[in-house]
Amino acid sequence: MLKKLFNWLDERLGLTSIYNVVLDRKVPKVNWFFTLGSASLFLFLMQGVTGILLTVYYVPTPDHAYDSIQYIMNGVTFGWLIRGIHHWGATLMVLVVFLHMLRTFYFGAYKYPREITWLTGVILLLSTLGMGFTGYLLPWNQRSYWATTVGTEIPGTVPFFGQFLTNVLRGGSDLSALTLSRFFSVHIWFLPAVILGTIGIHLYLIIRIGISHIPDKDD
Amino acid sequence: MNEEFKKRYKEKYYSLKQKGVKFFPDIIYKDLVVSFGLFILLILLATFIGVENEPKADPADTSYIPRPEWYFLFLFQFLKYFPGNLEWVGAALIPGIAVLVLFLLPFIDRNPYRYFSKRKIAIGTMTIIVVGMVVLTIIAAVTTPPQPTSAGVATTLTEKIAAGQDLYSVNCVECHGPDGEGGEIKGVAGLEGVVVKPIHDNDVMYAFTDNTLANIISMGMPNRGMTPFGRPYGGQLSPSEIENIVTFMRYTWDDRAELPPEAAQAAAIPTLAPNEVPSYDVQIAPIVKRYCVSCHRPGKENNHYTMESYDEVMKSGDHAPNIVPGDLNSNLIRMIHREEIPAGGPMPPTKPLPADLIQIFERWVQGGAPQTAEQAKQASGSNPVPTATPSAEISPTSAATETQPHNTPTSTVQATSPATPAAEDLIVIDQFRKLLGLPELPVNFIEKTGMVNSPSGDLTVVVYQDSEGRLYSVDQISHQVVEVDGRNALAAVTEQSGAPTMEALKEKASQIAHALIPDFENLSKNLVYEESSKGDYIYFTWRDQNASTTLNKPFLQIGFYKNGVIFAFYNTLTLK
Repeated sequence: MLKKLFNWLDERLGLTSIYNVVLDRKVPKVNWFFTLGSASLFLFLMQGVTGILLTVYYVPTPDHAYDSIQYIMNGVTFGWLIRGIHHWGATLMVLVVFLHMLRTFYFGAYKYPREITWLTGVILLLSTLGMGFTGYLLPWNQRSYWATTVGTEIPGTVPFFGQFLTNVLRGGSDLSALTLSRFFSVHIWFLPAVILGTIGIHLYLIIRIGISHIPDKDD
Repeated sequence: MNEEFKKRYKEKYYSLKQKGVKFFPDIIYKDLVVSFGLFILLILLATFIGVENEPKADPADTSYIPRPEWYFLFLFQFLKYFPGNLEWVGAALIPGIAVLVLFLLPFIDRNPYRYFSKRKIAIGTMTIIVVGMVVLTIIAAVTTPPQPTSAGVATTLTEKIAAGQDLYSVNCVECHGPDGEGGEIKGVAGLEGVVVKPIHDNDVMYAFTDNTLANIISMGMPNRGMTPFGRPYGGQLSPSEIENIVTFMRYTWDDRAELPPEAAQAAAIPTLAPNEVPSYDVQIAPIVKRYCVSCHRPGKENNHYTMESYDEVMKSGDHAPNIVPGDLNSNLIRMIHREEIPAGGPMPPTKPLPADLIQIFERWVQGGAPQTAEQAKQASGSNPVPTATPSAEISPTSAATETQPHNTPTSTVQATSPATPAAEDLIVIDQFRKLLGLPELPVNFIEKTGMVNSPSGDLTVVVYQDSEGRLYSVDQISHQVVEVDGRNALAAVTEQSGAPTMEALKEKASQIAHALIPDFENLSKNLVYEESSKGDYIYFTWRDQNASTTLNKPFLQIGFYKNGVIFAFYNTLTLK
């Protein structure tokens, strides 16, 4: 019976060929450093799940952002856990993605034929930092407000068009409700869309080319 | 990379793949182990470290030291090395180039080799950069000063209400009163005599939402004299603090909101056991905070009497000391009894302090005005709870040896002087009670202590308490009753009717004085006589202003309750 069901699905979804291409393939022997990529993916998924749960209660306005987080922390069942995981997940993700980049660099894995995998990887690293930067403002507390004030001043130092960049980031000359809604939107729509798409390409290339090997003296 | 290298790489990779492992399950297994480990780590971090509490964003608070998330700290620190016009080089140019190089790395690094020792430049550069980032992060973490407002942030409702009450006490009480009852403002510069409407009733609570209340506090009501309290408008309060005040108001005064029991408990002034001496830390500080600090803090009209700490309460002010341990005639006690004295008028100016709080103040001052609960415990520890034991069985000798010297600086005990036999003191007390017309009741030994407002400043007395609570202090040298304090017993006698005239009371006081001091008629020529009253208490005092004693002039004082009951007696005229 189960076999019949599987065959029916396989005929339509191509499960066997997915298995053959994705899972049942040979790869060089590697060490534990090679788990950093999948760890990054796992943390991204955790951030996605907890982030989606947080948007249920979070309100991205200066009047309510802080209170809605207080409510998540004190009022919502296991709200503190979800926010705690999201908070620490962000920290860990930056760390793990950065280590993943270092591993790729030190093992020379960005060289032929994986140049494009590296390019997408850099996009993912920068997007992760962008997620950290935009997400930091959302609790609308003293720490986040002032960190973002200073952070958005940095592009403003560029001669000629710097102030324009700062104004674009802030949605005006000062941090305001517009900045918050802008950062919120970037944090939950723009960057996740970029990250998801880029992860797709990244994974496709990894499966297509295969993971790199640990270089030896001949390489 | 030329074609030969590509071919070599492909062949090598192919052979390694053949010698390698299956993606599933070998690689997947390792990935799952690591991911699961991270999952557990996340849960542990979220549970045991959690997310630090921060106050709500306050755009007006320029004293806040901005601090980015830790992974941007290195950049933050890096910027500091590019001051002035060069800032953009460190802020945008160098990081921009770094990102671009990182991005284009495969096309910049044309070295076909992969093994570490064949890529010295690339590996060396990256290692230097990473070490530099770590070092910069550490420097930034070490050198950034800690945030000045490290006080805990109120998160639970109870904490918010408590924080709000404290803020209300400091900022609002001088005009709106301790319970929001309003009334005529006294002693506030520029607003003297302005009548403030109550803010604690449904008229206000039902009509104003939390937001409106917060806006009123923040922006003030300039046309009615209320100054802005929010930082953006020139005040001192942050949005979180204003929100806490509103929460306190809503839960305390709005009959639709139910004050959580814990919050009510936290706000209550701790109660006292019958013979317990209050301490500054436990009982006095909360009362002072709620009723006094609003005006008695720097920058207010208060004759420089600030009350924000124990030392300030005891020592500050133009008329310092306003509290003399052991002396119920201290300025503060007289003023909370609404007496007009040189140091100032009745306090608090608008509304009398509740009677039970006045009593706590009196017991505190009488108990030596101890600061910590520990000191108060020692002070009351020497006061065994009175029992119904007949007076004859009391043995002050043994009790006195148990008495420990007080830690309070003012009540000195001469532990070396032998305790007088109880019988002798009891006879004195009995004679004395007949003289004053006090009831005969069994008495208990309380303590042996120093009396600070005696002429010498350190007269040693033994204190007894009768079963209605009157305290008798007996001098151990001349064997006479120096002080009777019957305020604790007033509850039992206040029911008595009749309000004798001032003349009648004066006559009575004079009779007692004559009975007590044989040549009083003669002596009184050199004494300064005065009459005074504190609320329901009337005092007749004869002071020996010419006495040569350095600390306190000897005096005789007899105090009556308004119904003619004698409740206080103080005599240092006849001391030897």
